[in-house]
Amino acid sequence: MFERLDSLPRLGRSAVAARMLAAMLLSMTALLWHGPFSLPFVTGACLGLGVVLRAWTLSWTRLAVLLMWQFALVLALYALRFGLAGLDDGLRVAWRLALVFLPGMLVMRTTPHGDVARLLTSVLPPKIGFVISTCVLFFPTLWAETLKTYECQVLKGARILPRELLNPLNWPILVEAVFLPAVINSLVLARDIAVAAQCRWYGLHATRTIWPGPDHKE
Amino acid sequence: MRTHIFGLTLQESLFLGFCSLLVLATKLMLRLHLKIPGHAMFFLVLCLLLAALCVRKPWSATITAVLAGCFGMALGVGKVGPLFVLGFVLPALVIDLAVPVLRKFPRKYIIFGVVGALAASTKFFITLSTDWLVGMDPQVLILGAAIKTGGGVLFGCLGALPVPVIVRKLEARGLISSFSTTN
Repeated sequence: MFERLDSLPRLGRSAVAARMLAAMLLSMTALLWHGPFSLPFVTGACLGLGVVLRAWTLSWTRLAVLLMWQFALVLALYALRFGLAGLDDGLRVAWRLALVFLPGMLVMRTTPHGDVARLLTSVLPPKIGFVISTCVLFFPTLWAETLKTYECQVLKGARILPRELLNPLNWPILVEAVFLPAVINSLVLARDIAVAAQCRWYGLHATRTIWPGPDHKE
Repeated sequence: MRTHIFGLTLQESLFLGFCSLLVLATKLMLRLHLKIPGHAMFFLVLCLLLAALCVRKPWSATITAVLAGCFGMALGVGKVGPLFVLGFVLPALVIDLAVPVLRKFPRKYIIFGVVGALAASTKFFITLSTDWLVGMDPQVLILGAAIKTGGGVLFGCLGALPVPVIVRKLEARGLISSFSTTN
């Protein structure tokens, strides 16, 4: 995963915003325009977007599986209702449905996640930015504790190994043995961080919540 | 303690942030290990209900859902962009609207189950409206949406059932009351 992230070029905020806007526009066009040329037009535009985003450099197996499942379901339903004569309509609907999701998938896979995060923090108020960055910073601590709890519970004989979780009847054990401690930990961690931040006069100044980024100029 | 954002204290907003990350983490983890359709609704409904009932402020679940959507988009979990955020926010709105009823009957498992199922069923309406806008035949439409989201409704109902016990345990240990008295 990290190799894939490294291979993607870094983008400015306007480039990320333009990509997301293009994806939304294409999705909305596929959803709302039902004219005779809509399918070829949106398909061509999606291909163009794929070329611009250099989509061929990544693996798209999971997306292909998802789309195949979608196609199979829609075609099966149309065949069930209208017989083989309905397959034509079914194919058109399934293709349009794929075109609704495809631009978003293309953009989200080819855009570095850090750049999307930077765009979000520039749009969101600084206080929300503080909450988001603090949660992201401390979540690995919380998750590591949760994993430790999970391992301890497994050693104690709880039936929560991955193959045992395939049976949903074992899920209550997971909730009681792992999820409840995780909620308790997050409540306690949130209290500790809030106290620590307020001891350091966090919130005294309305705008002084985060350090400026590397592109900040004095 | 001072109000931080949206009428929440810093402590409450951080807890909601952790809840939203738990939603995403469980979504990712379950996607790796299980192949049961709709299973992600189990932890989504569970986390959103806990967020709403632990932080006793209006729209807590919706704020958690929006944060989860933002995190998901930033971390690349969401494949479908804005629709991904909508998939979190609509169940959260249902839960936030149902919170007064849930507080009135904190031990009625049936009510919790119904609210969980209702929250999960919002995915049915998202799928239904998308398919309808795409121009799918009305007779195929409902069956298709039901097949896609039936499992989710079942898991949403199941995800709401442990909540009364968890909330009772948190209250018994003084975690929720201490959480609200420090405000």
